Amino acid sequence: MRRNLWGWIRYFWLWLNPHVERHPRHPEVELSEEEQRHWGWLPMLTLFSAFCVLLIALAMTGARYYLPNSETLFWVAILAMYALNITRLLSTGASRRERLGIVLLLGLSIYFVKIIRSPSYFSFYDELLHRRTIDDILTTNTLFSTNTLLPVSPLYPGLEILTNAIVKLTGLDIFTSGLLVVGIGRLLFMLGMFLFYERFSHSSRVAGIATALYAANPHFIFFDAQYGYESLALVFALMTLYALEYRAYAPEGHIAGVTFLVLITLGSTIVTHHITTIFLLIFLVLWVILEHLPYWWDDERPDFLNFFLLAVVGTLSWMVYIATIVINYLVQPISSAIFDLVNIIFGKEEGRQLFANTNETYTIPLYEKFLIYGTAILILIGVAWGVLWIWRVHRKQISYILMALVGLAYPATQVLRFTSTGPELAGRIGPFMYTGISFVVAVGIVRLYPGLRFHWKRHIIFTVLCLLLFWGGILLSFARWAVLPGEYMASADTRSIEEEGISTAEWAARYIGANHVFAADRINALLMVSYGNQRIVTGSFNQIDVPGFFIAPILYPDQYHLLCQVGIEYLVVDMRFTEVLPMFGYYYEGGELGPRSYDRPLEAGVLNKFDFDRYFDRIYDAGNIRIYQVRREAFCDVP
Amino acid sequence: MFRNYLRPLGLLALTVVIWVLLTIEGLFFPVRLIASLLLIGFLPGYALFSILFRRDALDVTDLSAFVISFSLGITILGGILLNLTPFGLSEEGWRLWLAGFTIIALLISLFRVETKADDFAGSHRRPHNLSTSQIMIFAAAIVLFGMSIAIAYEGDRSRPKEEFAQVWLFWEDYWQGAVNMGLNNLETQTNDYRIVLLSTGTTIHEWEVTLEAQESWQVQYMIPRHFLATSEVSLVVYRAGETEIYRSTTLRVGN
Repeated sequence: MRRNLWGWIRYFWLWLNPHVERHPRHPEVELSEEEQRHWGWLPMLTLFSAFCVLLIALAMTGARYYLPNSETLFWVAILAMYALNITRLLSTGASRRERLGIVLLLGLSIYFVKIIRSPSYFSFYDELLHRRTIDDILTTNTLFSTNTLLPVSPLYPGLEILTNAIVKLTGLDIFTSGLLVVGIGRLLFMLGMFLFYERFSHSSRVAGIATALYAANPHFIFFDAQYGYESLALVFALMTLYALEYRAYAPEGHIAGVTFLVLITLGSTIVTHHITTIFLLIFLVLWVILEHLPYWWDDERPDFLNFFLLAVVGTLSWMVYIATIVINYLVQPISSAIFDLVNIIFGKEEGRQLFANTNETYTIPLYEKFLIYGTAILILIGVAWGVLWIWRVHRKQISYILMALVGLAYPATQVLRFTSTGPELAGRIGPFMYTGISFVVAVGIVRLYPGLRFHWKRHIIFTVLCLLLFWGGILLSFARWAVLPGEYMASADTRSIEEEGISTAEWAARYIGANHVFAADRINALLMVSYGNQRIVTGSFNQIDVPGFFIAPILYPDQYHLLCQVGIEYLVVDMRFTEVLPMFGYYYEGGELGPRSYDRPLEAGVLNKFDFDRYFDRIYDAGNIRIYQVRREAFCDVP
Repeated sequence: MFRNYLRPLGLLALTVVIWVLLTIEGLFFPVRLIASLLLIGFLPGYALFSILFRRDALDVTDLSAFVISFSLGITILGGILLNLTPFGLSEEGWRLWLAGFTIIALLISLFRVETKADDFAGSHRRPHNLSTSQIMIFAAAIVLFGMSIAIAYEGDRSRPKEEFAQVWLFWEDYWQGAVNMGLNNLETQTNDYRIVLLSTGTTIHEWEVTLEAQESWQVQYMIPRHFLATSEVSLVVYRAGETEIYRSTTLRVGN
């Protein structure tokens, strides 16, 4: 019995570790020169994708008019668009030119979804934070201003520098320029990702499938399409990696040029986004370690140690001389999530309940939960299968092992979702993990469906599986109620940013002047900073209880003292909080009710208290939003 | 041999033309847009590329990736440098940096122009091979994309939403009793308003105002001294013909 078992183990070990070539190729149909010139399905796919985008625009417009079935139309259109593109990428007969075209088309079409979601103004939370930074640069023509809601934003000004150049030279407004910057970045990103994967795999089929799978990453459709520094930094980080891989096998006459590309894209990444730079460093350190291990050492391939050291020096220099506050900004949430995780493991804390409702008016449907869980399971299976075949066939190729390591880190990072502070961190890691996940899964797919001849069953199965990944990715990116526009919701980011709030902030900038100190709820604070050019007091920045001013039935003497101490001049009160519950569980700041959560909206009397307090003047009324001026001269010791 | 100099010389001339065009006030917008985007997203990168690589050294896809990355990176890193100069990130500064960099790079590249065939020609430039019908399909797709944006924009602009007016009242000069008050009609139709300035229930002044959509009414008013001895001053707005208060603002007087 033991001998049989040993025999099986030995057999498995030999199966797992066959002899491998240095650079094995994926079995694919060799197209003739004539076939390589064909565009194949691309023209019709472009027309079909454009038609789907048109349907999405109609669905979004329908949602704005509260028409029934708008949501159904949206999902049918976006899933059909993805399905047809991925099905062609899975096929065996498409030329490289066609695959690249499809990948660019897919990236652009999905970007159009974001534009259609917010066609008139920035409506995503982070966009408005960066709007303040670009506004300051346009006004002063200098960098490194102050942004009270996102202090690190002005210290990583790559996105705003590019936007500034477009605004100044073209005369376009900030919003349109921002769309252009991110749109050009998206196209370059898709191009770069395709070329990057193609360099690694020497297969345009693998590159096409992997790039399309990357589009299933939850951040792809909205978060990394918004006007935010990560959206641009990812482009440069990817181009850095692409240039390094290109340089590894470049002819001698190209070395200098590619080196320049590495330096420029690396420098651009460092000055654009902190987290992306750090993940780039992690990627580089893995790469450097692997290429110095004897098993992967290749005399013909230059190592990247110098570039890695340069990247470290550049990153640290920027942090030390320009962006010192970013250290605490990054360390705090990471350490908090790790401590939470350790406490959960040792039973000192209960894990966070997944899909817990923060608002009783919205319940996540059962099929959505299944889809999201299913996506996670599919990714785990896909990564496991892909890693298995990478080891069996491609283990001598350092690029494959690198991707496998990145992909294998995915399960570990998702554990953070069970902590109270970790879900956002787990989500933010996604775009970087997916660089490896999508490649590994693509390798696994082509192993089961080699590119030698068409198998209709496998074709359908993999199209459906990729589609499920994409669908689950969208659901993971945003709550379903946030994907489409609709009626106002309290504290619901894109569903809360609307004309009354924006015009109130613009009124403040115009009539009160800039740089006054305001206290407000989450959304109106954001609008006051971005459109109003005001300064905002927050709990995290100023270490005071800002929600207490608003949700307490009366103000106590120590709160008046705080108003004086912190120098708050104006309060913004949104009366809609007396009608609807907050979608994220709070109106002002997380934890404002302590361990409790809202089971009903705020009482009108709570927010009306300022009308009966002689220390506040109601100076502005727009119906839902009011501004109260604090009569500091009446109770503060103002010199 | 002169043919090899045509491209860098042509781009040099183009850069100079763009630099001059962008100094013109009131330049036709599409020309400004195209010229600016070329200057930001293509010319500096191609100029640098021309120095570093031999002609036709790269496949068109790699070439595109290199040139656009170079251009965007030169712009971003150039912005960091501009911040240290008296120009700052002004329009003048950008023109100087981007056009200046491009011109200098192209001049350098003129010295690198090869007079013989490229030994490293890795170009796999295939002809585009697009038929007329395919071009028309692409054109139709572009039209559909454009329509999508237009539908989304128009739908967002004209969607049903709660229309509102803004009313304000604040001290322009507290000790003089000067107040700034106003009303912005942000609705889509003309409205009639009755605006009443009160002092603890006593009418100080009243206005009947008709405002078209997006029109504003604003007044700076000196409150008579005897009303400043009261406890509060209010601005109350009614829609014409209605008795229910539409908007109200209140200022306390004294400590």
